[in-house]
Amino acid sequence: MTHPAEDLLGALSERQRDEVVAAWAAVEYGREPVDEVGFAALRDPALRETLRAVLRRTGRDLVRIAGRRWTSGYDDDVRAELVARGWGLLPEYDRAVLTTILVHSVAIPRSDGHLTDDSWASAVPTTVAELRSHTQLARGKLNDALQRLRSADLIRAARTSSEGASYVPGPQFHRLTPAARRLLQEELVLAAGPGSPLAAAIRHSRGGQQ
Amino acid sequence: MDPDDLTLESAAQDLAIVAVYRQMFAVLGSSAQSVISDPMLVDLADALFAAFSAAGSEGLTMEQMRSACRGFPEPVFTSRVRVLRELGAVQKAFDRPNQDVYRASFTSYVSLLFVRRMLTRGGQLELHRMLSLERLNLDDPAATEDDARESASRLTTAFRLIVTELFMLTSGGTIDSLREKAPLLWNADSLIGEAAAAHDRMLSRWPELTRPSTDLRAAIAAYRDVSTAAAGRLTQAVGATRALDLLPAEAWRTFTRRSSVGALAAPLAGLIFDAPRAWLSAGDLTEAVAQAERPAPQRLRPPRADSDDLADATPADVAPADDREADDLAARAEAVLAGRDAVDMADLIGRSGDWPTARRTLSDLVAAAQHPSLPYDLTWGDGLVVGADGVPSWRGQGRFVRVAVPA
Repeated sequence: MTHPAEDLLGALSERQRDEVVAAWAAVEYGREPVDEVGFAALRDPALRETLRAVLRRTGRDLVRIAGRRWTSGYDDDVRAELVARGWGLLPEYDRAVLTTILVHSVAIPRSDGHLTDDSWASAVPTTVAELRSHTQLARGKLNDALQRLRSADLIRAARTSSEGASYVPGPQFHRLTPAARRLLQEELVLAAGPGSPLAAAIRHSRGGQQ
Repeated sequence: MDPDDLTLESAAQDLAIVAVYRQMFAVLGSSAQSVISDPMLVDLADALFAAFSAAGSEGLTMEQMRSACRGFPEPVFTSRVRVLRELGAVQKAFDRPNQDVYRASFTSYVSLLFVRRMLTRGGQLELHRMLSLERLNLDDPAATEDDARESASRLTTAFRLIVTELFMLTSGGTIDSLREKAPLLWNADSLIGEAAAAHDRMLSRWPELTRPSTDLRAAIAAYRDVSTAAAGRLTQAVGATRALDLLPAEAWRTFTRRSSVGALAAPLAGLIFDAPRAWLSAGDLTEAVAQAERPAPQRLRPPRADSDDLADATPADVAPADDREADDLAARAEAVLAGRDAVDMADLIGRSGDWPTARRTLSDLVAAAQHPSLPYDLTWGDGLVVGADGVPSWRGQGRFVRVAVPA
């Protein structure tokens, strides 16, 4: 079977093809974003566009992380279509656990002024005790959900403290495109502060787009 | 002013008002004439008031005051106490020449609390309180139309001022100043709700107050609009995660504590993440790439066996076993073909009933096709047959063929 991007790669010289394929493997299979220093196809703008086109053929897009690091994630249109068809969504309970971790590890530290850079990465862990005692998440299912989220790299175990296991958002959040990150932020604001002027502004701008 | 009003009594009244004003702003005075320029001076006043409160009715002597403020430099302390005394925030307990006991003014301390609150919460909390008070005034059975008119005018003024400030920040201010100040000013829905309630109450009790109520309504609507505009400009400018800090931490905590599983799950409903798989570390990948670029070392063929007896012995030993295997595979292949020349693999696998059987058949046919001395061929085409109820549920398209043996 041929790769869907065979024709794109065929047009390149052998060396360029090697570089594009190496960078493609790195962004697709690397756990963390990769630094462009190690990959010519990420440094060179023309090859980078070819790489982007290769990724597009399988519904992916190249995502730039602050600085000079890159990874891949679902293309925005593909994401919208998958969501519309209900394919590949996390189970509801897992999503609820993940939202709670995002709020505790990212949103609250941001409100308190502990996080400043524009990313979903965080060093503030959410303990299992917090998930158990301060939410309405059914307890029996919590460990299984955490296990699933961990294996999907959506959460990462932080260094365990005296309060037991704790988690921070995982490297998968780097794979969100800027539009997906913005969507997540807006949805969280709409859910947590529906009466705030922020929510009003978000509803207003969405109404304007439609 | 009417000269008739310039009596001794009115002068005394004016002086009393000014004295209260002076006490209120004493904590902010750097000298008797101007305001402070260093927040440390307010901290000193705070420490002083705490000491006075602990001392109770005994009051404090100058030395005790100095001891309470020993964390601050002496010149700062001296000048502060002088200003606070001049403005009446710290007064002699007994107005006698040789008395060195002082007491602090309650008004000054309350104003200090007020200043601190304005610092952290902006004017919004005050506006809330003002609205609650105005609401009480309007509900009072003894309230008159004039009271209501004044109340509406106060609220309108407050809202217009807050609108102007937000508007200036939104249209002309830098993002940093907007970010810092707007959340202290902009609308919480509750504020607009309270203001609208006060407005409705006023209009239902005094329907003839059309003009003030229209003004108030317009001010409230302008406030709602300018708040949305400010929030819109901020969310556009701050990036894809930074707007999160514009909601107070308490709102987030309440959200996770009180929401059902469904409500918690909703924000992630529009996102797709990769399925779990074996992710590699960037270091391993870089290393693999670096190694791949090196030319692979030339492989040497293993030395041929040059012994004659070994060369002679091999075919004799291998051939019978090979033949047995070939016969065995041919028998199985013929059983599958059942007299036909070709058979469709998807069909064959689909009819096998269970996966272990299908698997065995598949391996036999592959082995037969690969065997150099047997006349069979197995070719696979593109595409898959997918059947949710079939076993297995997807099958490759292929044909197993008996080829003509060249004569």
